Amino acid sequence: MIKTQVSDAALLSAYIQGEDKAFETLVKRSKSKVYTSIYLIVKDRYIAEDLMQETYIKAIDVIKSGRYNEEGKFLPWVVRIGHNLAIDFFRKDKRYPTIVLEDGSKLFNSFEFAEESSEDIQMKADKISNVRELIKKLPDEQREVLVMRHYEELSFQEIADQTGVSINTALGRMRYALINLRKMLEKQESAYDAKLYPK
Amino acid sequence: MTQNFTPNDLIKNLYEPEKGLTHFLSSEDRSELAALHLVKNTLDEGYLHPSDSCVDSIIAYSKRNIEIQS
Repeated sequence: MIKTQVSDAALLSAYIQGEDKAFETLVKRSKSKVYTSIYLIVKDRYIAEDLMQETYIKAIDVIKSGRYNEEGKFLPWVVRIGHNLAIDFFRKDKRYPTIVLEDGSKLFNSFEFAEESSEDIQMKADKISNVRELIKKLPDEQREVLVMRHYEELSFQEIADQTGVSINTALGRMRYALINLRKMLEKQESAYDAKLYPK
Repeated sequence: MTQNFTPNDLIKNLYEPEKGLTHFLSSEDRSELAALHLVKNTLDEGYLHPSDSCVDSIIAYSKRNIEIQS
């Protein structure tokens, strides 16, 4: 039996028709991408959750007021709202410095999340921090295409249109981004093996 | 039967796969595609998930009884 997934556009349309459950599915489908893209900017889980809530509230308000016109591109749209809110947060944060505790941690970081153990959070944070560090090492043009395609889910044609290059250039940049990431991952792995099994 | 694919075709196929296209890939292209999939999966592993309470409050907000304008 072939299972087909309902498109974001169909879910949005159902939500507009009054089916609340459709939006729930959209949130569950998009939450990790939206949350991660905000976290990559603010680097604090507590603040990222606040901004994520604000992001969806903004999206819901736009949809409910009948102003939504992204034609089915729900994820890139909602990621963009989150991105803008995270950038705004940084601007405000500069005006209102964060309270830093004696041990050097920020005040917000002292809160724990009920759903996950601090060990789980640390492991995930390490993983994402590693991926983020590797992405940061990519040349700007490659990083831009990678983030737009992988995290914002824009098509290669849309990336080409938005960045003013041909689709082949966008594909080429993505290819080099992935090849470079692969090399960096292999390098990390062999360094890890050498540490674990010294000659 | 295999076809010649450019490296860019493989990238396009990785993210925007066309039905049945992988049948025509050479063994070399298949292993290249598999290696690229591993990198893609690593990028996916980097995702963080928000807490249930955060998601629940968003869903609760979405169910507020406000008529949608059309």
